[in-house]
Amino acid sequence: MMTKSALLEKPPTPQGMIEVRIIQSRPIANNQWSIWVKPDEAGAIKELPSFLPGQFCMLSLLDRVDPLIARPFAIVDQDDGMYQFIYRVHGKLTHQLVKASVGSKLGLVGPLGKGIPREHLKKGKHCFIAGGVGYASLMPLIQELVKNKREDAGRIFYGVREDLEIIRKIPLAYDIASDDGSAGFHGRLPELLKKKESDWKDSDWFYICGPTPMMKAVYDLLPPDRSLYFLEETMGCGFGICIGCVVPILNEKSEVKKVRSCIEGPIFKGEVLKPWKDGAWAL
Amino acid sequence: MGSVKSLPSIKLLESKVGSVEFKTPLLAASGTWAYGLEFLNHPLQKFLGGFVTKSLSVKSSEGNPMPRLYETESGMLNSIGLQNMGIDAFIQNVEPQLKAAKSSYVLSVYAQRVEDFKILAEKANACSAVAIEINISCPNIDKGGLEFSSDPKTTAEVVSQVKAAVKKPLWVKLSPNVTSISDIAVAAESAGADAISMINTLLGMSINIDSKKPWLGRKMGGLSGPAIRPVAIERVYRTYSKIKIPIVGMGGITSSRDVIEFLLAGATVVQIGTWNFRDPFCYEKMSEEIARYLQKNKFSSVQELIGLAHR
Ligand SMILES: Cc1cc2nc3c(=O)[nH]c(=O)nc-3n(C[C@H](O)[C@H](O)[C@H](O)COP(=O)(O)OP(=O)(O)OC[C@H]3O[C@@H](n4cnc5c(N)ncnc54)[C@H](O)[C@@H]3O)c2cc1C
Ligand SMILES: Cc1cc2nc3c(=O)[nH]c(=O)nc-3n(C[C@H](O)[C@H](O)[C@H](O)COP(=O)(O)O)c2cc1C
Ligand code: FES
Repeated sequence: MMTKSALLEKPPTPQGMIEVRIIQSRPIANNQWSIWVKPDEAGAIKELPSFLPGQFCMLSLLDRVDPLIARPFAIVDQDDGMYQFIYRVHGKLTHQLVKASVGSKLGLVGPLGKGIPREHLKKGKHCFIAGGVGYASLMPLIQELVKNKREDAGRIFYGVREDLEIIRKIPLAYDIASDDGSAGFHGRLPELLKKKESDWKDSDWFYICGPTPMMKAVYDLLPPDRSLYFLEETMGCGFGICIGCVVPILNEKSEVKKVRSCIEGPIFKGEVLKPWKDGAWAL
Repeated sequence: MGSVKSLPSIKLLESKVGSVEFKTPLLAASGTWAYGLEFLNHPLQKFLGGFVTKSLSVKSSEGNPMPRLYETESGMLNSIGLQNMGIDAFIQNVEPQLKAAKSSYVLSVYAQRVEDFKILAEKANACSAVAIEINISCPNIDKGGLEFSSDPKTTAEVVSQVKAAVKKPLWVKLSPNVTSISDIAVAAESAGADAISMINTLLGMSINIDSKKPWLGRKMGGLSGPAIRPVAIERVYRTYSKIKIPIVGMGGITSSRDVIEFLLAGATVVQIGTWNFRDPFCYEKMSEEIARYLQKNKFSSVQELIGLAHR
């Protein structure tokens, strides 16, 4: 294939906990918010480091021990030393995040995880398959194609529950599948993909991010050696020390092995994910 | 990060557990610092007194099913189990790196049978570890583990056998899931322990009211984090007056204030566990704040704080 490896060989080691301030916070679609954060003026770091598409940060509420554990969020965009995140209001931390005012401080550790080198998007055709807020994780890749003026080389399939959940505006050719029929195809992503097979069959690479059942449901339709799955396992730390995020994958010897999703992933090629797909748990 | 401030007052933090010296009383706890490789060359090492390895067993182990973590109010349940690479792989692949970096670490070992503890102790002798910590208190395995530390007699038996085999200081890690932890500490001391590490996690469970099943794959798990700190402080306080050997205190530490609290209760040094997942870089700030506290209160060493709450 085009680039030697579709993924960064080794994830970065985080250098410190960066105190950031929320400088903008706004709803971007139903139940989904966008925030921009910037390092606190008092800290040693003035600009957030550059990142690769697919990388994430661990965010926590500073000076609070409940929620205790930081949560992973994909970096969506970067501008002027700031990061953008898009989150779905979901559980404990995100419910508090939505109430946090502009100027509030967060703890940020990142960028973390193996990202996708930007050169990877300079060639070939790319197909993006997103479920819900999983679309946010794919946005930096989509933006990269736009930046390279390669809009024609990309195609998006986006599954949502309803029309209001769609994060607009979508810069490439796309198809929507909605559970309630309020937008695009009335039904689920796998059915949409089957129906539109001629639109994506010739893609060189596939990027899949969404709820685990959705990712498993499209697995059999896609070429495993050219599909990259963005797993969203529960993470305790994000940088390899808690062993809470393990997933069963196939190693080079085709044995089932448990690896830490935060540092061996969170993006994995479909070909190693067979045991994950089958729900294998090698004990 | 930018340059780490060199802190003359870090001298105030020098600590000792028996004959073993640490540059600060702040150690990373077993199971929360993996095998120490992630931050081996990071500036935070300047403030980290040492770390304890994930508990190693004779054979490698895959641990428990997912999900393994569930957050509770200011706490966390984990059922990682003792997923580890096994002592031989550790000695072959990890130990040389730790030795080369002159890492100050304590080797934690775990077994289900006394004979296996002896094998582990003998292998530990060949490592550069400053001490060995025997984990006889893991709530996350079906057999062994907790059983050893739930009775003074079995505790004494395993401690004396390991003591006979090991040439390093022996730390014994105890469980709070017992009727009287101080009686067990006394038994460990008489059997030859050089220090008592306490506390391991509290056994706990949480149930998903929608699926009507426990949240964790293994159903129950160990509770850690700030939620358990008052329990840990009480156990350390109570045990301090019963034994002469040092106490390595832990349970729910998130700040310099918490560290000072443990020292006042009677801990000689502390271990930080769950908080590493949130902020593994906390050691610098904690060191600075403790040094400031000592200066403000006119102490000339952090060791002067040990057990002061008993006066
Ligand atoms: C690499 C990576 C990148 C990610 N990027 C994004 C992103 O860009 N945007 C985004 O929105 N999300 C993202 N996620 C997912 C996000 O991290 C989680 O949804 C996160 O847990 C939300 O935090 P929370 O505190 O709001 O929810 P939590 O309270 O942590 O709940 C999350 C899930 O945990 C379980 N759970 C835990 N406690 C409870 C409870 N008390 N009641 C009910 N359920 C509970 C449920 O299964 C629930 O669905 C990403 C995840 C990973 C691994
Ligand atoms: C994810 C996790 C894994 C742990 N694994 C071990 C272990 O392998 N051996 C051990 O002796 N203690 C283990 N512990 C217990 C900790 O070392 C510590 O005793 C406990 O978590 C209390 O401290 P804390 O509240 O600061 O986390 C583990 C704790 C956690 C949270
Ligand atoms: S999230 Fe802690 S090891 Fe992966």
